[in-house]
Amino acid sequence: MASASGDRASYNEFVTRHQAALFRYTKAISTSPSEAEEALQQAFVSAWLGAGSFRGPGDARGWLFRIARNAGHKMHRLRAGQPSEHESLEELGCHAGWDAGLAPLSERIADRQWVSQALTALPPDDQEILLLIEVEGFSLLESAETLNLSLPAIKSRLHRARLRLVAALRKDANHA
Amino acid sequence: MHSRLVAGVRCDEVLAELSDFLDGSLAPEREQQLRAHVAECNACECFGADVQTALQALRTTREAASLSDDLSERLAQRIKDL
Repeated sequence: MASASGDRASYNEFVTRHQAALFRYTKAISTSPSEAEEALQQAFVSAWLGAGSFRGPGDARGWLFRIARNAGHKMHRLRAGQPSEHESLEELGCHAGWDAGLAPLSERIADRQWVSQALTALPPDDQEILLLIEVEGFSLLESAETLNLSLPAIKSRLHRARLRLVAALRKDANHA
Repeated sequence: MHSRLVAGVRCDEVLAELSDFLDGSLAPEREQQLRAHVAECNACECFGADVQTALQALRTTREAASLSDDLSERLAQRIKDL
């Protein structure tokens, strides 16, 4: 990992390697494209300036995403964590189709674009955890460190987010 | 709302543990218990398949998210100016 006093060429490689994933993330946690762009830039600037504080050889990606998250908070415009409705797991499951008699979603559920659109309509907390774990491939532990949550909290959030995703798909399918 | 006892496991147990089940993070014995339930419970089988298929689709949505030329230039310039 390049440091502020170190290798700019290496840092440019680091930026190139992570910029697309980080942009997906800042878009998910921001309220507008311009905020996402600013958070992205601030994150890479902060990462360069704070590279000396990185305690490798751990996960530089998680460290970078934490910086991006903090950058969003500092902008005071990070999407407020809209509290998800306090549904019981059973209610959530029923919305997602966990109910006898409900036909399975058709093969349309394999439609990447449809699923991707449903993701962007979810509450920010759900989008964030699904993006990190399902799209970017973060481990549960990596996600826990990035979001500063306990492992059980991450697992619970992920489970509920997955159910909300399927619930959103089912709702959309019913309205189609 | 359904919750039947099938193969010694209730549907609401499957709902609660579905993520762990799909992620393969249950203890082998517990996984086998849920697998036996799902094999005999059409509702849970269909629901689990929906969730799994949706997640598989989501995992392939890693859009390029390429930065525009303008954003790339601004980012490069900010790093260069440091």
